[in-house]
Amino acid sequence: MTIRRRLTLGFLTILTLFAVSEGIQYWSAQLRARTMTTLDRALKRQVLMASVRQQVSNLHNLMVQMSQVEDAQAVGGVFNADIAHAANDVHELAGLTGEQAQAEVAQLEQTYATLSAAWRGFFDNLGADESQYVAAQLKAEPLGKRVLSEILPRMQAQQDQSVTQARKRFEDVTRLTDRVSLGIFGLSMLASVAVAYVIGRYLTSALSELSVGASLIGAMNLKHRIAVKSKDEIGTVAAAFNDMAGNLARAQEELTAANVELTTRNAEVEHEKQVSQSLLLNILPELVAKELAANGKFAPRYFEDVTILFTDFVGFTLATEKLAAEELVDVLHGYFTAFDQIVSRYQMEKMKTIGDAYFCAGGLPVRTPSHPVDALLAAIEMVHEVEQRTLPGDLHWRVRIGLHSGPVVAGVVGIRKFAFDVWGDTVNLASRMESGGAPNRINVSESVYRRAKDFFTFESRGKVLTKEKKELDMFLLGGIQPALMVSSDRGAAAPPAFVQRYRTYFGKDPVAFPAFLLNNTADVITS
Amino acid sequence: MTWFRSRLLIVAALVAGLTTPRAFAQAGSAGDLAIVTHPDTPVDQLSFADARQVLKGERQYWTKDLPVVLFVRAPTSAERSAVLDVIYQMSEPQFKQYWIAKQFRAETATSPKNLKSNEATQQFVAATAGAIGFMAARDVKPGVKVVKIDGHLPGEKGYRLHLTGK
Repeated sequence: MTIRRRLTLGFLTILTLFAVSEGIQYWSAQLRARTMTTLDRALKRQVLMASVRQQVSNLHNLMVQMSQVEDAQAVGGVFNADIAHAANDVHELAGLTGEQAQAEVAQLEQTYATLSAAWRGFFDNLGADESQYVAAQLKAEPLGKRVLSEILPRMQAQQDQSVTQARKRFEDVTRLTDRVSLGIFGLSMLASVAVAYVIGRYLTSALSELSVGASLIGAMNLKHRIAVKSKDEIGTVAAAFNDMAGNLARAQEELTAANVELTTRNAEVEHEKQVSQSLLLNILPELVAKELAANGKFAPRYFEDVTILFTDFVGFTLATEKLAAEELVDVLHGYFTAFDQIVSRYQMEKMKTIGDAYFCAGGLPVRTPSHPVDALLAAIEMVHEVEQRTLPGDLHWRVRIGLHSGPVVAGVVGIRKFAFDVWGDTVNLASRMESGGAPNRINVSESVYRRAKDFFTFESRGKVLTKEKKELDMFLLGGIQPALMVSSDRGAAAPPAFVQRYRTYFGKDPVAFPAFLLNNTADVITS
Repeated sequence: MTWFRSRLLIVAALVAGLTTPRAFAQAGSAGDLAIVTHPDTPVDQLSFADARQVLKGERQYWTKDLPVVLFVRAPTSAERSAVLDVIYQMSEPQFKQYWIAKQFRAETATSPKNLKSNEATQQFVAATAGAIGFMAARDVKPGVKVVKIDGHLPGEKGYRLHLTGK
């Protein structure tokens, strides 16, 4: 049964009960009206009877008293109206009396007729004809007494009984109709409540089941099915929900399978990406690699201030004759690995190796003003590394290091085996500083000298002729300014004075400092 | 025949003398007041107190079905004056007030019927069952019953009701 039909039936049930209630009310009103009419007639009879009694009593008393008046005159016309009025009341009383008391009323009417004739005889003859009015009085007195003492009291008793019965009947009817009305009202209420409860319970239960089911399905519990078996609208909605849940379950299964496949693919792609990213980072600076990955290219850009560092081993050619190729490569690998670590520590960028030469730069691709100082510290560590390392065959390699600061253009060239590289005179001049330097010494250009002379001591070499026959001012690094190495606390990462000056110049702490200098302040590159 | 007639007259005279003692009493009671009732009234004599009770309306029934119907003489008559004086012991206004009060107290539904003459009294008492009245003894005629008062008829010695009063 549909909800609409259920509601219609419920409404019709309540409407029927309402109609029954109205019918009962109508019936009650009719019944009450009838009993009320009976009671009204009884009360009216009672009033009329009291009136008749009063009038008869008055006339009787009047007659008795008039009989005592010495010189009374005939006053018949005066009391005829009263006598007639009482006669009318008696007649009206007869009209209101039922068949049961008709005999009594008839007797009253008959007696009153005789009595009224006697009264008229009395009042008409009073003071005129003694024999007539005394005879009338003698006739009237017992009749009046009979009416007042016998007939009317008897009728009054009957009337009282009648009134009592009518009142009782009225009360009974009122009580009965009240009870019936109350019963029907109560029945209507109960039926209404029952209908409302049944429909409400059904709707609440079904909607609750629907709500719970929808929530569970909404929470992706797609195996849940709503248990509404009815054929109504809610059943239709439940079936639709169940179908939807089934479809969603199938779609979810397909989606899950697709997601698993996609996850696998993504993992593979991610792995490949990480591998390629790792490879890319091995050959490119991180910033360049990211831009390249993002845009597919790295636009060449101009760096106005960088420091280029070149190294070259002295006696490498001789070493190639004494060492096997594998050993030579191993030695180079050892040195360059150490150089890589040093360069990384000082946040410089390794550019490439060319044979036994090592080429790196500071101040790119991330611009930093401290790159000449950082590059010199790295160079000091490189020289120390070379001096400390022992080679097979009792060989000792030495290294020339040259630095120059200036502008370069940086970029990535090629589409296969591409590499990050820099171009410009700065690179050439740095190479000339290396080639024009001395073993295990750090040879710098004037630009480096000017930028780093407040941190380091230099030995000026004057103008040195390069292979291009150009004269360049060159300086050999002596070491760190002695003033900056005093009061060096053991365990500190760098001498405080050096750190303080570094902060003053560059607004930051040095990224690293040669540890061996902290233990042996005398060990400076002077050899 | 003469003897028979003479004997018949003697017997008649004796019978008449035995059966009408009132005639004799009446003959000797020209100034007395007679209390008379209807002949069927079941009373032949009354004590003075009973007579007062009846005349004052305090006794209203002779028997269960026979009410007392009281007739009195009209005001200014000698009989009424005597009765008011001796029995009621009231003046005329007191007498009227007495009956009006009695009626208003519902002690009676009737009142004394005033009659202007002894003849009327004779007539109504004779014609009304249960009637009782009073009249000059000299005017009493057959048709009513003269009641003894305290065992005496009017005219007899010791009779207390006289037209002249006490």
